[in-house]
Amino acid sequence: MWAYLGRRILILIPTLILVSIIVFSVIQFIPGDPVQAMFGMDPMPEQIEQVRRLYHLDEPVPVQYLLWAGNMLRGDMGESISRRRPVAGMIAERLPRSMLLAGASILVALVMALPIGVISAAKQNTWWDFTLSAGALVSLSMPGFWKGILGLLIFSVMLGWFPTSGWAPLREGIGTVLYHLVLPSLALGTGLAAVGVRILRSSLLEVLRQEYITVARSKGLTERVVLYRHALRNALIPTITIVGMQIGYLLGGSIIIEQVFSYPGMGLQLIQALTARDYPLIQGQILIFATFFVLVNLATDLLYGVINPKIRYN
Amino acid sequence: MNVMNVVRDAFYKVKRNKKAAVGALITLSVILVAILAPVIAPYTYREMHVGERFEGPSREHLMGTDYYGRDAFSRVVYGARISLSAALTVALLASVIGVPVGLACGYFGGILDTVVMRLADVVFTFHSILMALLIGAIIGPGLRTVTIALAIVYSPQVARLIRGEALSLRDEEFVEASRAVGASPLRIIVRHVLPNSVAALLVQFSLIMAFSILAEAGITYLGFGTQPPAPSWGLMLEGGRNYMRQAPHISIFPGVAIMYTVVGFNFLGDGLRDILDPRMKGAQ
Repeated sequence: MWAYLGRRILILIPTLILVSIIVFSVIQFIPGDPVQAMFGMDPMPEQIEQVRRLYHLDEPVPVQYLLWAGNMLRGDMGESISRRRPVAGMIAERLPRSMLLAGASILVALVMALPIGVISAAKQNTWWDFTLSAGALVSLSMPGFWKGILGLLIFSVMLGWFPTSGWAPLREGIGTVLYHLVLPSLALGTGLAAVGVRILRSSLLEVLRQEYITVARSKGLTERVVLYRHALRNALIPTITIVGMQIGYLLGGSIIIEQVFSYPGMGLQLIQALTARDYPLIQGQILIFATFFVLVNLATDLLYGVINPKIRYN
Repeated sequence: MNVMNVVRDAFYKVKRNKKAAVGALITLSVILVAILAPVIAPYTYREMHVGERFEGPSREHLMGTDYYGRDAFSRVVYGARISLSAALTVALLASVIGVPVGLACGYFGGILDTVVMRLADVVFTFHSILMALLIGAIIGPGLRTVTIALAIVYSPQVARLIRGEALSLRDEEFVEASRAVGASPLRIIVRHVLPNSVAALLVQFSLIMAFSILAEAGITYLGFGTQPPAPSWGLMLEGGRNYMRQAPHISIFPGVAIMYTVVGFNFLGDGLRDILDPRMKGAQ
């Protein structure tokens, strides 16, 4: 296990280096002068100095990259151009909020996907199965942000049950925070739930055809025990892998959901940074998003082994 | 096996598979709407009726009007052109890049395969929206940005899929037989490996169309995709955001259009997978 973990981390390094080169290249590819792209046609001398200090534009490109990457590794992501604050601090402030939204969405997805997937498979080819499977496909076909808009329209504007904004500060109490989170996490989580339902259903159906299930049934075990104790555990393996891979993408999807609900997380910050052409902030954000995705994938791989001890890490 | 035979065979099977048939019908209806937009739409997509702003659905305006008094139905109809053409361009670009790369990696393996697959891993770390925002930060927003970004994100998926197909096919007996009689690698790939990978590609093509329509709408909603006054569905939803109380219909119909179209491609993809690869029946 530890050797496997070490090897996986070793593979991560070149991936992360390439990701950082792509993020770094943004500055190289901006048409024209980066200083003018950020500050307009008439930059002040101290603005020119700030960009020069951050990107070392007078050095050769490989040196620029090494200096930039070195700073990133030390946690120095430069200073935001629009806010005049350290980028790392700005991201650190927003990251937990986006994680909270992602966490709540994963919870929504699990709570929905597990029972629906199991019912769908246990009642294969019945009216239940058809409705639930079709529902999952329709949910998958709805843009997450449109679900958010519909949620706002119905539950906030028309019924007044939920607030129109998705965020409440923690000092207003955990209950208020969660109450604000309901609509955004449903908008984001139901898509993931649909993926989960489809995978869980098909892998359960596959497992239920295996011989050891027939043996379990012939021992006289109830269908419930067969389903939950014998089949579900194995069917969860592919489900966790695929859903785990989707969690990384969840942060990408959250960019739009945050915009819909004016949720002040990393996504909204990225959009504001893009509008302001705040390149240091854009780069820092994208680097964090991509790193998070890589780490989630690693975690998924490891979890895979915990659930299924048969998988040997070699 | 001939490519045309595979396609013809698939066509007959589509008729017999309910999911695929429903998907094909929905998709076909959207394609027809896109082609016949000038005939179906009662107004042009930019015609403003200033005195008729925010009107709800009526006989004159089936889906109501927007903040400029433009007919929402006409805009939704014309919007099909943008969504479909963007999605088709993305799927074609992703295939044009992904298929040859995947075939080469799978068939030849070795260092080429290792390097390309590592690069694919790197691209996988970027969500389609993130990639579009990244490219938008460089070349500015627009439909072109969305198309390039999505093609970059989806071509490694195609490459990986085709690589898998090529990998399993290269050791098949009929390929070995072909090699034994002296066929060149290029000939083997074009005559044997490629036609046998078409089935998997068709499924993926349909799903990429579905993903691209969703992604284009999302990126445009954020302001980094199609720019006004083009009648993009995402743009229409973005425009309705500030008028939810007075004109909720603006935020509903374009979303229904997106959902309808994407359901079509998803059903088609699912159905095609059942037909073309019975081992995967019912799988995701």
